[in-house]
Amino acid sequence: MNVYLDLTRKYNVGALRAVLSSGQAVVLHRLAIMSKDGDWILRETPAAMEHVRGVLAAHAARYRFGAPLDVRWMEGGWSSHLEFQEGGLRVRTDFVTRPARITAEDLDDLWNEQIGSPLPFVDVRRLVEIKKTNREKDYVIIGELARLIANPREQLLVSRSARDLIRISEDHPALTRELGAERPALIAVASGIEALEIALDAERRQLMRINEQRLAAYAASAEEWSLEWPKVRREIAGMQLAEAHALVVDQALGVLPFSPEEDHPS
Amino acid sequence: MKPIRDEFLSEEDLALGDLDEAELIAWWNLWLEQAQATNDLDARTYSHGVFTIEPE
Repeated sequence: MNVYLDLTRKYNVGALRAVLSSGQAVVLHRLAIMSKDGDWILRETPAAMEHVRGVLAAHAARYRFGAPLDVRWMEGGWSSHLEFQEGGLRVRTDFVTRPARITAEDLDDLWNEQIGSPLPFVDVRRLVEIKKTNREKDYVIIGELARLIANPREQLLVSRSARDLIRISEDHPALTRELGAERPALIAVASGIEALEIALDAERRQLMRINEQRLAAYAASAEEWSLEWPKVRREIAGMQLAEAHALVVDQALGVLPFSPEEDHPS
Repeated sequence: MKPIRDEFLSEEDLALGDLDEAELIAWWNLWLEQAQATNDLDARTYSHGVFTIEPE
């Protein structure tokens, strides 16, 4: 048994509540093992979060700095982070309900597609979007994930290989021209491999900057909470998770806004 | 001759596809065990989500 598979199954006992995402989902797609930590997309319901907190309580998990695992913050795009020690491993469990770059409609589709799955994990296309972070190493993963895609349209939209894109474009020239409106880097296909490589590099840098700006907005909104956190961490040390959760929620109210766009809640 | 292709991951990374489920889980667990060696280095950082560093 693997701890992340075990947790995913426990989160989903009796109902679909959690889809394994990011690095551990990449492993299940039989690509690289590159992350120690687990990341899940959760159902945005109080019942789902209560169930997951119950699973984590049984593992004696503790909160790390982050948002409370509570719908009010999660629907604002915040992430929640817990950690426990087991079998010599430091197990980190990270949660979002609104993964970056996945539209609300696409997220609904994800949940519908995962119904009945014995082991829900994020599909290749959405993993590509989730991996468009500000870290160089994630674009390496996208490069290989793209090769798992059979559909030429989707390949043209996500591939990071200039050679692959030129080969696909030779088979689908009209489609490549059409998709240039959606992915401007494809316009450089007509100018040859070096121009395309430059365009792909520029595209990656732009995606990284966009994510940096997104994280900066959250960091600015969490500034007051980050000042409070050392005190909160001391207070919850040694508490059972249910008790710690109640205290974290109580302390976060009025300090960590439910959404970065809003002023602090009253 | 095999055509040159852009390489993103090592052959070892891509070899996960050749493992059966039991082998994959064994390799995955071994990797996680070995990765604990860096726990002190990333004690305050985050792999996912919107937080980047835990305040001291």
